[in-house]
Amino acid sequence: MDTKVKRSPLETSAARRGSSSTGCRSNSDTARSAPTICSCKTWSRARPTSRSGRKRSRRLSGWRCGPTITPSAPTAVTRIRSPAALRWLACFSEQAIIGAAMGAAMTGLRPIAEIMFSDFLAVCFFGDGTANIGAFHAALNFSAVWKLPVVFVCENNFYMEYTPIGAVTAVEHPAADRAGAYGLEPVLVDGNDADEVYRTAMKYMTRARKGGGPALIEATTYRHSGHSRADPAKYRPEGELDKWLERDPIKVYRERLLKFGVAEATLKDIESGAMRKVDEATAIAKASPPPSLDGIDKHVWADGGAAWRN
Amino acid sequence: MAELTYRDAVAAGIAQEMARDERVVFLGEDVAHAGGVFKATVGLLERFGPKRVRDCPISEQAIIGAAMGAAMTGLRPIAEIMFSDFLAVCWDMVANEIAKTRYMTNGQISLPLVIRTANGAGSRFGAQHSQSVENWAMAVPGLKVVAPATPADVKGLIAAAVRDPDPVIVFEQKSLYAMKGEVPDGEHVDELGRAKVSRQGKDCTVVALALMAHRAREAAEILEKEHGISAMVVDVRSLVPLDTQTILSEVAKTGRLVTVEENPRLCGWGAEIASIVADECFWDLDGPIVRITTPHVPLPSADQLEDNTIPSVARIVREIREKID
Repeated sequence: MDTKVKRSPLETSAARRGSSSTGCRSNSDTARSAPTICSCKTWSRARPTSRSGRKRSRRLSGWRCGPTITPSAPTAVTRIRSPAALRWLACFSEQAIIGAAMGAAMTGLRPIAEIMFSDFLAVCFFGDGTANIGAFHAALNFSAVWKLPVVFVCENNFYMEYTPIGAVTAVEHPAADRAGAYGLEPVLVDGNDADEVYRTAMKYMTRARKGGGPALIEATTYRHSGHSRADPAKYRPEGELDKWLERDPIKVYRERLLKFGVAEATLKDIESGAMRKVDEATAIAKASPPPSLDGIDKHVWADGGAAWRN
Repeated sequence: MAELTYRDAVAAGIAQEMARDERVVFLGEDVAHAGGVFKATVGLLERFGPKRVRDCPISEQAIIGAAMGAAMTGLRPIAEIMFSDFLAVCWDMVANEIAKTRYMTNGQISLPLVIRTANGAGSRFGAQHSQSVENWAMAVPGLKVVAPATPADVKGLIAAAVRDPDPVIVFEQKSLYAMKGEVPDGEHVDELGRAKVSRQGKDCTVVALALMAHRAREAAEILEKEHGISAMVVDVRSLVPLDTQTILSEVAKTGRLVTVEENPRLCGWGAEIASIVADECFWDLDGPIVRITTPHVPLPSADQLEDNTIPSVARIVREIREKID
């Protein structure tokens, strides 16, 4: 896998498109139920799968984790399992996502944790803009010095918020080009190719679990919409979005699955299933009453309340 | 009771909790091999080993971020920020994340961590190493804030902070590290949210914190002996939770409130106490509330300038005489 080769994201993807080197791989790395902690700004789903995971996971029921990867895909075919501590950290600040991932990895220091979770791992997702924040550099150095089992994943979508990342960054690849400063290899992967991402992730996750220390992966991708509800994304050059939509990872993967003989009907089932889930969740959200006002002064403290005085 | 210095009491408090609970880990800059730049953590590395007592790079963000993640996943970390001024370097994690994570997760994620930091002036460290920033922390919902004034209090409140399920910032006054005082033998655990009356008096109630609690007491002795003014002194100890019941009842006894604050004037903790007192025991007051604070300037480092910036015993005496007599 040519993860170290620097190419522009479009070149990279063009080179890979259609040349999907797939085939069923063993999923032993994930299937052996190593605890994985993900920190990210968004939410998705997975299930606690072991007894040891239930206690914590129950506490976090509704807070689920992991890329939802369909069981029928050729390589990225596993549901990432979470026996003990699969959880999202509810972070909305890039700095803290990075720092908290490090701390999560540190829990492997605990003697008990060492016995229970000898292959403990933290995975930390962040955007290209974060690579220009001081905490990013502090975290990489800290993790490298302590050889922490952290995999840092930079999703480089080429825009920090409104400004192209290239206009404000001294290097071409905001994360990968900084790796060398911390003794890490620069890893660049086509983030729109699920198989490539999977293989790269497994390689470095496995290494980290075995005590090989942290890794920094930069996955190039694109943001199909604005940064937020308030952003119509008019700052993009004409035609850029269309080029990237051609390489929409879902579209790319669908084509690949078809090529590998997955029936169109199966794909339609998967798609309609996903749409149904989203529609159902939307319907539930719309039908739900607004949050109770009682919630305003709850859960500031561990006693459930918000009292700051007697 | 053994006599310990404030700095030894810090180490004793951390050691007590590390010995009790293996989940307690301690990290900071120069805290392990060097025993801390204020020598407040001497012996911890030798006793608990390099996995639980860790020297970190000068990366406050990494230290606090690591403590945050560790707390979220089952440890009870104590993180040292060498000078409280440097909290500004990692304030995003403290104020935006650590303070808010429990609330934002509807109580699902706990952050039982302690941030210890050397706060305040009196050691000629200048504007960027001498600030009293406890009011920064007090202003953020979700952080508990204590500022112990004595060796016994610092040991007991560190222990209480470690055992508390919420994030607690312990502001140690750096000019007190050499101070000696009696510390109870054996396990000593104090309680967050309790003020203490450290001197009885009937003419006014002086509410003070950390170094200022000592200066207020000294001032009260002078006021009594030389000016016939009997000043009660209340050591606030804990800003969040705040023991308003003690403060209100002690102010009601004397009818006058004086706050002595090391922080610059605007939005100091005393302003909040003045507001609460004005609101809730206004009719017990016999005169205006007096706030004695550092003027609203950055702290100078030259001896005579620093001495004339933070409230001195002489200034506390003078202001109380002028305004209470």
